[in-house]
Amino acid sequence: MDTRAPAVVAVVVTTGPGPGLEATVASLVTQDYGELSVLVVANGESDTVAARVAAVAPQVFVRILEENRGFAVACNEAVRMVDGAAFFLFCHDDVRLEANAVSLMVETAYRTNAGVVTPKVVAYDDPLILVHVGQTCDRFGVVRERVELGEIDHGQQDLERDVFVAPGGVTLVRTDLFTTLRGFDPLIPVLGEDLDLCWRAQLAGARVVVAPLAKVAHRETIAANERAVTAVGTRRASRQDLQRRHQLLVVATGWNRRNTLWTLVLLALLDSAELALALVGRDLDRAGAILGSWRWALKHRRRVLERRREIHALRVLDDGDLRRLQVAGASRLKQFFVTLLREGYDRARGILPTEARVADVVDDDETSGVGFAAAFSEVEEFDEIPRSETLAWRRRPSRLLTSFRAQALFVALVALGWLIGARNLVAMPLPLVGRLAPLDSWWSTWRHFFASWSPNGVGTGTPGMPGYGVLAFAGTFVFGRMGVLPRLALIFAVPLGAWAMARLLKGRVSNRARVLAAVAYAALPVGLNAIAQGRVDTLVVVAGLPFVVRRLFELLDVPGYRAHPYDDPLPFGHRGWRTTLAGQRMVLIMIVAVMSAMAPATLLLVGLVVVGVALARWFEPDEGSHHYGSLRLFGGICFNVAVFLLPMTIDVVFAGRRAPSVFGLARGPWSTPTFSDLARGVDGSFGSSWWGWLLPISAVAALLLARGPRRALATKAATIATLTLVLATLVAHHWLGNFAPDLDVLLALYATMIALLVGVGVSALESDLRDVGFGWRQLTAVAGLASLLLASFPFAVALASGRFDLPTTSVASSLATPGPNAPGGYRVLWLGDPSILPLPGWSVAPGLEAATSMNGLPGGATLFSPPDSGTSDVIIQALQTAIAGRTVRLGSLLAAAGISTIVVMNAAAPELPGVQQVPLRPAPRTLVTALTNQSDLALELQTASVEVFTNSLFHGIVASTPPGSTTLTPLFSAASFAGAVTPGVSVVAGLAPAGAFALDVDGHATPRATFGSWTPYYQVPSSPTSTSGELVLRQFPLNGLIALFTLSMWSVVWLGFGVVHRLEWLFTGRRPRRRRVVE
Amino acid sequence: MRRRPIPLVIVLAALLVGSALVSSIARPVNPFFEVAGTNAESTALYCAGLTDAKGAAFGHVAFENTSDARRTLALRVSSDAKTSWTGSIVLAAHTRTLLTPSTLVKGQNYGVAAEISGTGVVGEVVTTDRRAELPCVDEGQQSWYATGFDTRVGSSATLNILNPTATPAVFSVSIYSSAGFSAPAPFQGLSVAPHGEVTVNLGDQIVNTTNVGVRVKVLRGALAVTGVEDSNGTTSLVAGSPAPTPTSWFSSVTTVNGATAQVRLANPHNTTTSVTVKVSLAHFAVTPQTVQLAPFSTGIVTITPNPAIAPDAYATLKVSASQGVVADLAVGDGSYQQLSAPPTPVRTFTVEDFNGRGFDATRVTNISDQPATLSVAWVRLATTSGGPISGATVKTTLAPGATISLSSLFTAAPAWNVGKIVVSTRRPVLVAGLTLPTRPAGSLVVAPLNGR
Repeated sequence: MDTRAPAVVAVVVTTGPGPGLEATVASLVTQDYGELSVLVVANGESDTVAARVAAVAPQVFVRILEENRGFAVACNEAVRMVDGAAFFLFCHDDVRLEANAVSLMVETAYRTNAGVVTPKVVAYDDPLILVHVGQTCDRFGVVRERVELGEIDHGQQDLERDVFVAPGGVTLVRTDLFTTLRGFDPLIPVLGEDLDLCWRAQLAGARVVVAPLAKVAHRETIAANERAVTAVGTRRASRQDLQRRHQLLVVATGWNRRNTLWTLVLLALLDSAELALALVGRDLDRAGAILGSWRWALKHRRRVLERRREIHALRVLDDGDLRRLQVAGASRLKQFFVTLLREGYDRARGILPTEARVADVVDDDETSGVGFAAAFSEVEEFDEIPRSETLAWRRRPSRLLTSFRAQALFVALVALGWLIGARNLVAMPLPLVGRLAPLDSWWSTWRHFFASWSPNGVGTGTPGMPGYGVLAFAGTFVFGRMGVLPRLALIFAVPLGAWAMARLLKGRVSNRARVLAAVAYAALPVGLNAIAQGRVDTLVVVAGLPFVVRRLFELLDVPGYRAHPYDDPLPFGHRGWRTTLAGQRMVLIMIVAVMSAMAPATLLLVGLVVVGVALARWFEPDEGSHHYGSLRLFGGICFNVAVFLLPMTIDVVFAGRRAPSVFGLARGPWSTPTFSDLARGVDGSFGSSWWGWLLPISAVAALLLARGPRRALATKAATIATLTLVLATLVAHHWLGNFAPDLDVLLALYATMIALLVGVGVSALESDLRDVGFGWRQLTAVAGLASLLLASFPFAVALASGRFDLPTTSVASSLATPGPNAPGGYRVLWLGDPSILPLPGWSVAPGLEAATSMNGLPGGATLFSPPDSGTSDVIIQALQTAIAGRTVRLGSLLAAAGISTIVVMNAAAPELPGVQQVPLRPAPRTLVTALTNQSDLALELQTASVEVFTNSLFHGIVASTPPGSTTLTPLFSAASFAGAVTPGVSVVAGLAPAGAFALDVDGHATPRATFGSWTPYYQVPSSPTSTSGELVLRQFPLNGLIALFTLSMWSVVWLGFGVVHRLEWLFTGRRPRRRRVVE
Repeated sequence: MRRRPIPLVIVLAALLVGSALVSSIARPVNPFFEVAGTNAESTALYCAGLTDAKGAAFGHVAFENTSDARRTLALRVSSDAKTSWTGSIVLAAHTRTLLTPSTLVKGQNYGVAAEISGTGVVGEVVTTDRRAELPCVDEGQQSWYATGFDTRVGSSATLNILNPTATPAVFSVSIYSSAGFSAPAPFQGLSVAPHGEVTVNLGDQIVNTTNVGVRVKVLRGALAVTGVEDSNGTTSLVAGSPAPTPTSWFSSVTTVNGATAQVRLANPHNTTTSVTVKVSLAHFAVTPQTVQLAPFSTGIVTITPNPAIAPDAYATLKVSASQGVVADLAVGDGSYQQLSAPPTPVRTFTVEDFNGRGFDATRVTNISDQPATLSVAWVRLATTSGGPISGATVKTTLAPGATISLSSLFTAAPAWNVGKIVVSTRRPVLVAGLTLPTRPAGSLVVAPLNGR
């Protein structure tokens, strides 16, 4: 029985001066492995090699090759010289083996049945620093280390394991395997021969194993540029050239046909991108290496094909198994982006490791006390992250905006930018656009809320809209300076909404994500366009919607939003009642009611959120959520809001088919935003360019990246956003008939969801991306991040005008209308798209709203319009008749209402090149044609933004006619509808409802008749010679009572939030015991 | 429960893609005249073109109430002497009244505006010499095109312009001729007072020129324009067109010996336009004729006499152009020419004899590429004792591009003094061509009443 150990032949290939040759040979001959022979192959060197070897180990064989054809050829040559060896140990001439290295490697080879064994390689000068413990590679042949640069050897890698590449230096190869593989490929003389050999070995079914207890010090003179590559055929090639061409050769021959094609296509794409970057950075060496590798492969295409056939013949492993042995993704690309993000472009271009990077790593380690994950993620577990260079970047992600100081500074900068952007809004005269009609005084605004009659249309006796109450209440806080309110809305609504957005995400994402989401919300076009168009009602929604969404999410128990269970039910009025379920629901209802008073479509947004959450849950149920019934919740909100806004509810109930118009009027499908605009959240000039896509792209990226609880939130936000978008599309095309919610209000919800998704996306970048391998998620993340960064530029541009493009003048205010003291009073009929008229009205046709202002421009008395048009239908019907071509006497039809002027608006403000740019939303052309063809209307003014017609048959709102005549003469002063009246005349008043007014002549009411018309006729007695008359409103104050009831209800509910309990001592004389309420 | 993330993403994506697709397919546009009524439904009639006895178009306006109810007409007669007359008349159902403007106001040229308290009243301008007539229009126009005017010795051409609204109207007149484009300064920025009437004599600026094309561009307001040409004593009342059109049809174009017929063309564009005239005869095939119109220029295609076209009674012409052109028909007997604008394709029209001469040709062409079923009704005019009497109604199918004679549908020749023909179909694809009895035949053309 033969008990000898298997024979090992160590082949030391020496080239050039070989400064460590003696040490290498010495370490080999001192091995404790008995069956080891050493053969030194001098690659094209002189006889000095033999002398040097002999000086150290005379028993060592030396073979001199005539020319240096590279390490691979030298090894192959040596193998041919030897017979009977069980293993070959291929060594460089700059290594130093520990005494037991060979025996340990052989032992490992037998124990693991490995075909190739590699030792643990340490630095030549410092054995404590790890250099290699085997290597791995990706599908493109890019080799990655398994240890970090400069990693100290604490024994942490001393685990025998399979690796993909046995790095050159000292490699033990089983002889039969080496023969099967036909040795090293002569095409790869150096740099890459190890990868090639191991790749083929594994294809042949052999294992490549690292034996970490076998320790070898490697000087790596070539890698360290201590000597050049001088093999034949490589003299003009740089190290980079050789590496790339050999990687390409391996990849081109290492896969089956289908995978080869796919891999080469991907590699070509990656190389193209890298080439472009190299050219941009003038890195000509890299560019040359990339191009050279492909050129070289084409030049050696025959050999490539031959290799493919050879490899195919010995293939045992299929591509799938081979792929599993490699790392996923593209290592070089990953490294590039990691370096780009962390260290900038210049460093990223040099993605090949350099000596300087070792120092960087050490430096970073010294200062990396707090990463952003540590700052914002509670589940951060640094110790569990594998210690490899590949994953190193995950431990040290960007620290941008992670500290409180940085965030505070960033927020301060944004706030400062916003204030600069809003600088002109502070003092500039507000134009008459959107809902910027000048408010009446604080007291008058309260009166409008309680009024029994309002001048909308031809007059209406419907209850005052609750919006007046909200405005008047708000006016209290500015000490009655009502003019301040719209300015406050213009300047602070969007920042308030941004703050609310940060609150919406509080506790769900990191502070950085919240800050970015808040800024995204401010940068989205909805708020900016609302400012530019003077849409105060939309701004109220923009400011308050994130609050509403947050409370809705809490009530719906969206994961993460209900941190604590609601308190036990308490009686209404108890100070802790607010924190109960009922109390929280009431808070939400009151917020929604306030917003709905200004913009009734807010109620629909609540419905969209509820439906969106329910739909998302249907697809992706939330674990452990105990949410309040969605429909029950929505129904409860609707009912309570209807009660809180009782005057408006009554209007809606009596509006009949016009009831849906309370949510908004149908805009002209020809001027509504396109789907592309809606998807960007654009209804105006801001965001209408391609920049507008950036934030939605970021939102989509968030949906794709988010995982775990973030995904649950992201899917809900995406569902709500999608539903909003679909509804907005239907509305924009007027496919829902009369039901046409205000598009801008709908877009506010869309914007909220986009900003929420942005926040979730940032959080996903911080938390979710670290746990997955390189792939599409990283690319998506880059796209999303780039979009987010780019989106800041148009936002900055929006600050330039100092007024967010709010016009400096308006069409309405530039019109010359009859003076306010014209006898009899007059009305102006405003026609145009609902989105540009400066006052609310009623729909005549899709894209055509009609509204009237009395005795001048729109003011505080017509800020809100009830959905019920009532008697004002006479105006609408007259217009519809004219548009249908069935009358040429529209002027006479409108004269009864005292309409002197018809203003057809195509834009809210005139276009002033270089000063202001406004969206054009033309009225239906049929309308202008119809008005032009009227025989009693005169076109006074015609510009691109407005057409003004005057009524040649105008006779004032109040007129008189002598007995036996049909000629009407204006009567009374416009200010008071009072004055002298000729005895015996008939007085007609264009005021509705007819029964609400009485004509008092000398203090006595005159008889009234209507003669089948909507206008009241009063017969003045003919007996006195001189009389004075006055039109007075005689109406039971039912509206006032309704308003009072509504106000009382608000007060009672407010008191129920614990105020009563707090004031209990006033009545009992006992101070209540302090009780800490956990909210 | 197992999460199903992929279906939700797919549903959301499908919703978005669906919305995007539907939005891109349905692109709404600002509607124009979608709901406006036709002439027959008008509540106003504007009649321009009449002159005093010294002028070429001395005559009257005939108003006829075709409805079953009484109508009140608020009339305003305006003249170019800035005088006007207003009054009202009540027109019983199915009755007719004549209004002679020259007896009401002073002036040389007149316009009549009638506001009707309802619908169903038609109006026709008829010259006293019974050689020209033209339906009144029911609305003003923003632009007006006509061509073929002649200002040579023996001829005169004027534009009678009525402002039917309360808006002071402003307009400019541009000229196209074989010499090219001109915009004479005196013809620019002209104004018409509210409800006023003005006359533009083309001969004042365009001297001794034949085949003159005209464009009236209304800068403010709306105008009713009628072109009036006197060609050696024969009057033409030209309705004009609101815009150049790439295709025009003429249903009754004479080809008989002794007659003349030309298609007068004007190219209002700054690029050359190719115009092809296809002549359809009952018994002969004729090769289409093509002309190239220089930018802002005019041209003529002669139909009669033309050696390539056999004398074969009436022909149907289809004028096709590479871009919109103005095309008018000029007919005559060599000593005069009478201009007429191409009729607008309509769904229904009325053939009624307002001048007492009857008709020589009453032809109708189906201009669509699908067969059209025509309902042709002979309606006896109202008598003093009652309303109209519905007579025979004939239904016939007209092949695409085909032309028939309405008279041939009835066994006996229509007695125009006691009745009228009302033709209708389902789509606006009918083009009528009416000629008065003349020798040679077809040398006087009149337009039918649209609708009603």
